Amino acid sequence: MQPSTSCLTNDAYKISGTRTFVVNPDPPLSVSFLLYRGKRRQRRALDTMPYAAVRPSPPPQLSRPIGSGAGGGKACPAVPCEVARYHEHAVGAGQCFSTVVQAIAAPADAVWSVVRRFDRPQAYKKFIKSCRLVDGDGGEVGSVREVRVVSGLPATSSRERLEVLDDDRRVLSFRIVGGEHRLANYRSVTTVHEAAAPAMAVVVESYVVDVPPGNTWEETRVFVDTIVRCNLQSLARTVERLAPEAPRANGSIDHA
Amino acid sequence: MAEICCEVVAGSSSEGKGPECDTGSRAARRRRMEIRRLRVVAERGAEEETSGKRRRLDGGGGEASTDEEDREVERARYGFTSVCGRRRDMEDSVSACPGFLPGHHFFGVFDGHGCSHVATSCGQRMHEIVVDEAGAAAGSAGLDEEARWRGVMERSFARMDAEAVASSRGSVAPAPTCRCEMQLPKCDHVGSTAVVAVLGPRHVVVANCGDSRAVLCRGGAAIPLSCDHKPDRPDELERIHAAGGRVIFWDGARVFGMLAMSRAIGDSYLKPYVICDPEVRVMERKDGEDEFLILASDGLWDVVSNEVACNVVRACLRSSGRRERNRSSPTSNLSPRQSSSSGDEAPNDGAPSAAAGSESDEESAAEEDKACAEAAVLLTKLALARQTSDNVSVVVVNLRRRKL
Repeated sequence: MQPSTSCLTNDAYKISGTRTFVVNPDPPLSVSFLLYRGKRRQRRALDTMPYAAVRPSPPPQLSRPIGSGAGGGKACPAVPCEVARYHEHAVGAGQCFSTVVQAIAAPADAVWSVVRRFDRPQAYKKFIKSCRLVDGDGGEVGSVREVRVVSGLPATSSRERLEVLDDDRRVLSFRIVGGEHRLANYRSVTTVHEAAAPAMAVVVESYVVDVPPGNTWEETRVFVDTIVRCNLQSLARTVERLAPEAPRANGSIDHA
Repeated sequence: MAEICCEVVAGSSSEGKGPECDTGSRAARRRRMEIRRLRVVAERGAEEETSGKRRRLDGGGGEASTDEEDREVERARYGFTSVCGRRRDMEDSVSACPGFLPGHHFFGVFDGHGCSHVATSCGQRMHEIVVDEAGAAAGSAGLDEEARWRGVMERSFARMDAEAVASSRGSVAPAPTCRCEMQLPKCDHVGSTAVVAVLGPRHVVVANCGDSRAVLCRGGAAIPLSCDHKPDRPDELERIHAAGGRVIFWDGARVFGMLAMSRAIGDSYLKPYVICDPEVRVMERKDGEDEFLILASDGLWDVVSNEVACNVVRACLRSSGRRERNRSSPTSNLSPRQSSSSGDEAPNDGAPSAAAGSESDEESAAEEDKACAEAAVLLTKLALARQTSDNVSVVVVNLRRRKL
């Protein structure tokens, strides 16, 4: 059972250093710019879309899931309300925000044991050729990994920093801090939750990223959603295949 | 600095499976900087073995089909290279199977992406699948040659794609050394282009899926026999949109911003937007005009135009032809035996008794193979010099018929 005391939650946030994770809706929009300074923030009239303009004002809309139009995939359940707050991002002008939801026929702990491996994203993610830690051990905030991407895609490598790893609430967040790709100022949050049905889990991944010059926010969302959706579907297949033995493995991880 | 590691291998029977022989060429990346290693191997033994097989096939072909008897069965003269170039991994595959069907030769270039095992599978299996489908289609006498070959190729590509998908589903991978072995359940993001040519006595059949390319040089002109499947090609763009997909310009036009080609073998995560249906072209051969055929991956075509490639190959084959004539002139006294050897070859039982003539023919044949291999190497060097950023695979097939 998850503790739902708000003051405890606030304390956890401070301990985890998630000040940049959730921005109080009261501060003015300029605070967002300070939080998201980046090398390539070329704001153009084309990028100032109504979608982006709407982002800062109504907090509940921040976590609204985007349906899966591509590939005619299965219908996406809504983001569970108890974790919607984890997926609130401060979205600046010229940035794109989206959420992908995936149902998995496996216990939430089994799913989380795969998701939480910051040092081994290739266990479930596609498009990864190799991954090595360049800082930290993968289990502590501040760890940095260097991911090499497979050929044929418009990216070569990605350097990513672990921002949040909360085993109690099953929250993982990382930021892209380098590499050869066009996703500047990318930050994502992944959460794993029990679903209403028994032995069912819901995984939610949300992200915010700059819209690259020359592209629209919708193109950016379609591109990143395609990658995130492929990864979550791969996660579902991976965990569902391992489900019979996952509880024991998860137990050993907990005890380690 | 581009790192070059190149292997040129003449066809060899690795599987010992009757007339079918399969040659895949792959080069691993060398860690040493600025090391250029180039190996050109012309295996005369393998060539003789292939010739022997073809002789047996000649007899069979003659018995099976009277149409074939009116024409001397042509020996394949070809060469190919496949180099890693500036990429970190080698994911191309080349297949050359002279005599894989009676009187027919198979050539294929497969440019993999995501990993190498789909391209490797294509290199190993595509010609076998084509043999199966051609055998099944032989019974349908109602179809003309073009319709029959079109059907053979479309069914072959669909079967090859199904095999690639099946291997992605966790069955034992045909290439156990490929790097994504650990991710077998997740490797439906791996795929390959496929450009395939079947050279017959009267036709050249080209089937293409992806952005590799086949170019025919005829009467000095470069004739593309395939059209690249790029996502922004108007008819491909229309097909993808009609299927509910998106083409996003993200470092070039890409399906969902991901894949830079609109058709491929494999890549099941992007189906039905990225399909494996080949575009098939059946071209009637023209003696006296057809010079050669080039099959290559986009590592070449991205930096070398069709016309430049044809000029390079023509110059290479011509200089070889001149060397050949120079060498043959001092042996004019052998011409009577050559004539008798030519007469003996028709019934296919004169080989042992005309050793000298046969040897001369074999030397000439090896020279022509070497010229094709040199042409392929030259094209590859040109592509690397022009800073191509991809693997490069090139096949050159000499189409001039030799007059005995």
